[in-house]
Amino acid sequence: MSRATRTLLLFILASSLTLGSSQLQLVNPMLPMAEAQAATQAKNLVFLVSAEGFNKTKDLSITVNEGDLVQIKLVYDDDYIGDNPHTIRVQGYGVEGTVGPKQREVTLTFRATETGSFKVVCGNETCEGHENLQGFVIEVKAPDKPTGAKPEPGAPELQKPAVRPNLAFSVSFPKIIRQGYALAIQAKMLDSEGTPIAGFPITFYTNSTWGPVKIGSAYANASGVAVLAYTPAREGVFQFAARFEGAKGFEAASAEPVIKILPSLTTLPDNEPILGIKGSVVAMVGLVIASVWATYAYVLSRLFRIATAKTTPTQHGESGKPSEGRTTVPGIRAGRLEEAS
Amino acid sequence: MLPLQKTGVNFYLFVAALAAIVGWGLYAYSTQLKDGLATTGMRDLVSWGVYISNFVFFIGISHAGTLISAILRVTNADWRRPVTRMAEAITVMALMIGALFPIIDLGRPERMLNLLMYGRIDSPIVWDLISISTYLTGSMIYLYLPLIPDIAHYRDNLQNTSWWRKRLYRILSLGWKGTEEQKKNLERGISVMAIIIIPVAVSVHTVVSWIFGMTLRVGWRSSIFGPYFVVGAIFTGIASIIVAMAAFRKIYHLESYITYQHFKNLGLLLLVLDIAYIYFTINEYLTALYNATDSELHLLSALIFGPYSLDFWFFAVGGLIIPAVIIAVPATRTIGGLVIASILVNIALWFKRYVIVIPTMANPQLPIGWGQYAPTWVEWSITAASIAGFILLFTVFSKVFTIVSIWEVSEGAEGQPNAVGKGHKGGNA
Amino acid sequence: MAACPYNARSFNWSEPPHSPGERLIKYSPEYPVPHRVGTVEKCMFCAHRVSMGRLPACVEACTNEGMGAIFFGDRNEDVVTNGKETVKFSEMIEKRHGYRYKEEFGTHPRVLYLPAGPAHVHKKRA
Repeated sequence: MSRATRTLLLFILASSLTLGSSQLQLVNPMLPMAEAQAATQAKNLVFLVSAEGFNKTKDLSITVNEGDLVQIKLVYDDDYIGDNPHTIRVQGYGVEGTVGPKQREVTLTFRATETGSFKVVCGNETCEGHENLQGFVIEVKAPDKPTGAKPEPGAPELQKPAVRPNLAFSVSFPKIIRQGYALAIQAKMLDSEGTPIAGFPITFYTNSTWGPVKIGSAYANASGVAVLAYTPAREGVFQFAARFEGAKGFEAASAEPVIKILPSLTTLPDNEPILGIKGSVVAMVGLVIASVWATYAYVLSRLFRIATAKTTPTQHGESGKPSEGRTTVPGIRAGRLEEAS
Repeated sequence: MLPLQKTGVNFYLFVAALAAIVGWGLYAYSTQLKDGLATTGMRDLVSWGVYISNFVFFIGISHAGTLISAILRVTNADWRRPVTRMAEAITVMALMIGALFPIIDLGRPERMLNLLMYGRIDSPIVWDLISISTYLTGSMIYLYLPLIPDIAHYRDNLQNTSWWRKRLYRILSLGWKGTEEQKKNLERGISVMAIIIIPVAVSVHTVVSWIFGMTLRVGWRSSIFGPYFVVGAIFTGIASIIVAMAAFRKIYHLESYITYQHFKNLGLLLLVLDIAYIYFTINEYLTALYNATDSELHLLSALIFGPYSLDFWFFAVGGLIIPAVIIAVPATRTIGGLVIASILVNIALWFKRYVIVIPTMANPQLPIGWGQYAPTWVEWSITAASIAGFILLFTVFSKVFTIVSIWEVSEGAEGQPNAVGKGHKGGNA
Repeated sequence: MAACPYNARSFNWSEPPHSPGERLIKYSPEYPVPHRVGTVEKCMFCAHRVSMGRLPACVEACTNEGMGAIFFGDRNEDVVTNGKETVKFSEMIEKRHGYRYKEEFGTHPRVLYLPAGPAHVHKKRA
């Protein structure tokens, strides 16, 4: 990137701490539930989301086991209100999805890797009934005593060899990707047998002048696909990376494709001053100034005529008023001149 | 004609004194060149000081000139005839001095040409460059045109004079013989210039005001700055003409040409502009006071009660109210009274420019405290030198050319033999 | 100088102090180095260092002192870094409520400030 196009930025932080983890944007998983069940045993839950709360109640609590693949299907149920989207987020996991009149169903998929109590809340503070959408709690319990072997394939015992996931960018991009347009980055995680590994966060990175930068993360859906919407802010060659950090029983994995982003067709808006209509404004002002100077030139041309009119006094006959001798200034009488001094 | 022929000892003493002041100013400038602008009182917060005040002041005075002379010519006011030359000369001199100040204020004057080569049209400084050069060229032409018949007159009538004068007059008179064709061309040129110079002059001071008005600073960001500056410029311009008239009348004994009537007419014009300036001043400060935003009040309290109150009130009372009273009361509307009023106006309006430039600069937009500024000896020396240089230019001009237009006065006298004829007798008496 | 409402520019009123290394650098109109009397300067985010792939001196020093409070980057790239971590600019500004002084002037300055927010405090305890 040339220096000319580089815009420099500087931030001065009021404190010295580093930033917490990014919010994750989960783009709707496309797969129906049935497919997910084929992949793994999962907790499948369906909730109605409306201004009156989850399933029209304010308090709701479910319990899942650690290691469970949790799939919460949210169905929009506000029929009497216009556009009133709810952004439902599982706090602590960062998985979220928006339901509204335009997108009536969304499924939140995540692996319950951490134990504890997690609230599911609406993150859209301006929505109708926001306060009613705060009381949904997911309890993630640790499995019962180690003696009771849990037959859940999603959460293997520690003794078992860890699954080595195979992470790949699996989806083709549009042929031409331009700067400033959103693009869906997808990564698919499968195990060695080709079974999708669902419910884990996949983090996406891209290259930058200052090294890899995290651009977001998404949870793999039932078919193991994590999708992230990303808008390239510059043109050029992008190296993307998807990374799965690993979890209990799963090794870390990563994948790296290279994508070329073409320049935007329209220039991105920058701080154009109001004199941006420069051409015409400058031309108009220039015309005014030029006309002033043209007037000067006209006057000077008169001076030139005065200077070249020398021959006239010799042609006394033609001139209306013959020269009055030595004192040629019109109207000045010899007598008065001396007094004038 | 006498001043052109005879030069007394006093004249040389006067010129020597002025030249000494100018020389001192040049020395001050040389130290500034050597040691950088650190020799001035300006620093990062207050980066415009008396240089910019002087710039606005001199550009203001320059309006005297051309604008008055042009308006009077266009409206065919006959009493203008002995005054126009002086007014036009003031314009050229004041512009030449005034235009120096931005250069003096440069940290790297040797790079000034870059402004021409790389200047961006977005910058009000470039607008300034364009408008001032246009105005200077125009006012030089406008000064020169009515000089031609007079120069021809000196050429034909000054016998015992030095060779350089003869040569100068011969070249500058452009072979003027006063033929019909020459007269027609000259009249045409003068009337065209008189008309074109009026919008140019107005635009110049408007652009000067925009240097302030186009910024985002409290106290400058004002839409009335354009007309406010133009009225102020004509105001000080007229005051300068009155002072110059009185001085030349006394020194060169021009009582027969410049009569009380001229002073009275210009004095009344001065009163009108004084009132107009009061009106603009009230507009400017009352709106700011009534809006009473924190930043405006911060600045205004410094002006009205704070460290700049002395300058401000001297301007308001000494420059606006007292002169108005002097002119309005018939008993004080004497030549002496008018001259005192005019001098007051000029000094006070200099302080007005100071009060425009410095407090706003000293009052930053971010909470970092007031800036400090006090002009140093270098700045005062250069300021003194500029005033001395202005007077010097004028003095020299009056020695080479007559300060009263001979042919225009005679032309007027032909039209109304009584008007100047009377003055004549007075002059002889 | 007069036009900048942020007083961000400074002027070399007299011969500025020079470091020994600075004298060796050939003058280029791109950078205000070496410093010269009678010229205006402003922070250029150490453009000369950036062109060599280094971070501005203030960023580097802040991070070396263990604070990492200053981030620098490219808005077109939408990426900023403090030398230790590299993050998305737009996300950081939104989440940490980055702001600018005198936004109402419309000058769109390229210096933003991040207040110490709850995100911090939380992180600190963790």
